[in-house]
Amino acid sequence: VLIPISALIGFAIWFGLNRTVIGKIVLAVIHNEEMSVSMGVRVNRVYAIAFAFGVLLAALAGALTAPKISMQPGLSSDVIILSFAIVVIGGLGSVEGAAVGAILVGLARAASVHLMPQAELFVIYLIMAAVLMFRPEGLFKRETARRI
Amino acid sequence: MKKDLHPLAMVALIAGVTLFGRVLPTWTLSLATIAASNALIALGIVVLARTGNVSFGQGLFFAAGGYGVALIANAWGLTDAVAQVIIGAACGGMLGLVVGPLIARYSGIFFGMLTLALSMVFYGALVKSTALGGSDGFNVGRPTLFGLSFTDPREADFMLYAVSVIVTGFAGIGATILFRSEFGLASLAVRENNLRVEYLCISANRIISINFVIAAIFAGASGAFALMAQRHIDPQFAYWTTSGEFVFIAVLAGNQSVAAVFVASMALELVRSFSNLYLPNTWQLVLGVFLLGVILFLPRGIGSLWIRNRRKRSTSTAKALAAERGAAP
Repeated sequence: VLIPISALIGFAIWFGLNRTVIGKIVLAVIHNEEMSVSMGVRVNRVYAIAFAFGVLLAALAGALTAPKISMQPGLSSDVIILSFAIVVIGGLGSVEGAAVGAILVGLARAASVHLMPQAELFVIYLIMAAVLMFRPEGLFKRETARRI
Repeated sequence: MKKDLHPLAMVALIAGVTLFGRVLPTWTLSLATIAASNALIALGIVVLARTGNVSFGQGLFFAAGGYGVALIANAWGLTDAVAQVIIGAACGGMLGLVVGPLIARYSGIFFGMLTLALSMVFYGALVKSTALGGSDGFNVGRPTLFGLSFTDPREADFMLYAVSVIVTGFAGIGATILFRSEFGLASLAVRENNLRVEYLCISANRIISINFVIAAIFAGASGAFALMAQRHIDPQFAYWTTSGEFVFIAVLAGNQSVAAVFVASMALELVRSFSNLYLPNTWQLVLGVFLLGVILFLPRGIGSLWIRNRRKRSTSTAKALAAERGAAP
């Protein structure tokens, strides 16, 4: 169930961000906050909704993975680091990057548990460092104009 | 600490605080030692944060300083406290010198994640190395000072307290001078816009690297203190929650004032130990509420209480904070 649902949600978010007006507004706010304010966008509300949406996704992920793992209060810390690593590998603000990053990290972790258990602790970080070495802004970087 | 406080006055302040340690009870001494050591590493993060980069991997240098000191102490029997601090700072600084220039071209979250990655790789290596005790770490002997050994635990505590307060204090003075210097102002400019800084023929990467090395030196010295206080070292020094705690102190303090770092570190340590003592089951809750309160009411950190912001609002938040602190134990 997990894989089709996450693929579906990923596609929906990609569509929402890149092909709808709401997505355009969100991107505009990220790109230039002041300009968006002067164009009549309620920036604070966009931030609040974006945050709420992120929380929703996180809660959904928690609900979907809960049956597969043992729940405990300290669960969050591992997930934070993992998700940050995935986002950094994929590039900030890129849905397809996050997908590729997640697959990369998951496979690498599984492979290292299987082939080289002593590297299991830090294989994710090695991958992240290697990706950043060659692509300092992540694999899929959104083109941005440099503000001077 | 006012903006125009003279360095000599600060030296007097350090001497005063050190002598004040004579009248403090023993438990406060060890608490203050930990607080001073945490303040030192948080100060490094603040120094670095003034270039706009937050390092989530100061645990790397913290552990490097700690392990360097521990290994040298066990191999050659070097137990002098001051020498250990210098060795710790040197270990941290040398590692920073290697890492800093490599990492300076990244910014924002990439910088943070890369430092985190390095510290976690170091953690993984430490856990797996059986020669260094693996995940259990190993013990180190009691520190001495200038050939004197302290058998009375109170005297030993006071010695550690004095050394840590003096070193941290001087680091604070150094940081204050640094913040006011041309270099410190250039660092602030890098945070605002590094491209413009480059146009002014100043290398932004070099500024970030130098700040990084300073932060690493502070972190290494802090690792030496933590080692001397615990007389034990384990890979937990490099784990990311350790680094996260230092970042938290830096966030609490804000980047406007050096004194705020000490206040924040001490406040955090006090809240933690008191709530741990009186509410053993819910101390994490109390700590979380305290941190949340500071962030909500003082978004620019504790330093904003006395820097620039002397309006009515800041006094009311000070009261709220005082009430919060009063309520915590």
